[in-house]
Amino acid sequence: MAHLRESTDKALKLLRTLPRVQIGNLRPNPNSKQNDKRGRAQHGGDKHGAGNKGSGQRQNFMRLGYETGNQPFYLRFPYEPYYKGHHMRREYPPISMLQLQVLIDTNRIDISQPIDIATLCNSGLMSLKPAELQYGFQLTDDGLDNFKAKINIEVQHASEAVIAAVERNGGVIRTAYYDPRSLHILSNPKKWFEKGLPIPQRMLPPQDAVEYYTDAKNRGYLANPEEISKERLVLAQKYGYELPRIEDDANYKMLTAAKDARQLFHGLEPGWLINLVDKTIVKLKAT
Amino acid sequence: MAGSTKVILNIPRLTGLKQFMRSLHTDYARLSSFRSSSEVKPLEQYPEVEVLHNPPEWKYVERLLPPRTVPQPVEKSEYPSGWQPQTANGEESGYFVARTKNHMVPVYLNTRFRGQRRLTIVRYIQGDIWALERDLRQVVEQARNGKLCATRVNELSGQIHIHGDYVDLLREHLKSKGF
Repeated sequence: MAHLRESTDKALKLLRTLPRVQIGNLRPNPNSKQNDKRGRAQHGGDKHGAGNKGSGQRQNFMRLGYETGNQPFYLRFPYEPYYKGHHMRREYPPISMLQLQVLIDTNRIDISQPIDIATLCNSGLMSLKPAELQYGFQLTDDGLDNFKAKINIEVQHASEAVIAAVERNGGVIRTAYYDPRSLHILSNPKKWFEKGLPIPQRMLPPQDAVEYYTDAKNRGYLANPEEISKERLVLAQKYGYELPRIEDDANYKMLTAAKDARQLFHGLEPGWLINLVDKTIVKLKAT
Repeated sequence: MAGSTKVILNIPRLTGLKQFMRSLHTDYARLSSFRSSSEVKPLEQYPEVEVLHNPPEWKYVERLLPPRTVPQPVEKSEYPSGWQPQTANGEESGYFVARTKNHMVPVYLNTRFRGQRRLTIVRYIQGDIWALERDLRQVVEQARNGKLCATRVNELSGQIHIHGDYVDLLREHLKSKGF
């Protein structure tokens, strides 16, 4: 058996000098790789599955839907343009009343202050993408019967039932328009303050949104305040609840706090510069 | 000039606040970076500004800064949303289901195969996981009118997987036990 041990030793000795088996010195298994070249004539020849004559052989297929002279199927019937102008439509991501109540119950938003987009985004649970044509939040009526908070909230869209649910609890709701640039700022105010730019002015709504935001029934921010207080009463009678008198409320000042139509943040005016590091505000000197 | 200084804003020929504001909107790229900013001009051409330390409006700025951590829930007389704080500490039952970082009950639905397979997953389980599995299975089997229910226990990661969508049922069950 000496010769066997000898050859084993030899093999082990050889193995020590050889490089390790690794990805760099491996080659594919024989016949595991297919040749990607299509041979012509004597080098393979034949049709290679493309057939004889016509589009198949020449690989010049007709355009999609073309039926060689027939009225094509996709043009044969009239259609309804559901998605016409979809690239310009404003999107309002929904927040349900239940979600809002959970945020309040778990102490994620402070109802002793007015609630707006910045409050919702700062909770860390909502986010807004103005670049994807999201123009703010809409309040939806899910869990509206369990809503029991007195709030001053500003959203971008709200249904009648939602408005009634907020006002029944003695709260105030307002719908307001923000242009994409303002939305970008409001979706993360801290990040924007760190850029060190003056606070811009908020733009007025585009033509097709003016009607919504000037209507007192929608509690639009451009509506006549007197009409809004009248509509509050009308809605209370329609839904059959007694409208709480916010004039007598201890939080009257907070509940009626509203931004100017050109204002972005509560209490901060456009043109001011916020310095988070030095905790200073730079204002233009009044002339 | 006490209390007032001039701050360099890269705005050419400013006649008033109104024009300045308009320029912010019409010229999108301006002021956005060092490249798009115009060159520094003599100080006289910039508007006069005042820097206010400790202004009364600073409270409005602080309101806009997000909290650095998830706030702790405060005790309230009622929670209309159905959420409730955790009360049990697991001493009597022998097991404990921790809340998530957002103070929610960790019961999730996992759907696979285009919603054909639905798994209910309970996470963050500490202590006697097998006792909890017996409890949950009993609850689910009761809801299924005595039909058996398949479960899987991952002791190492503290998870229980239950076949079928029983998220609402188990979440309410855990909440009723104080978890």
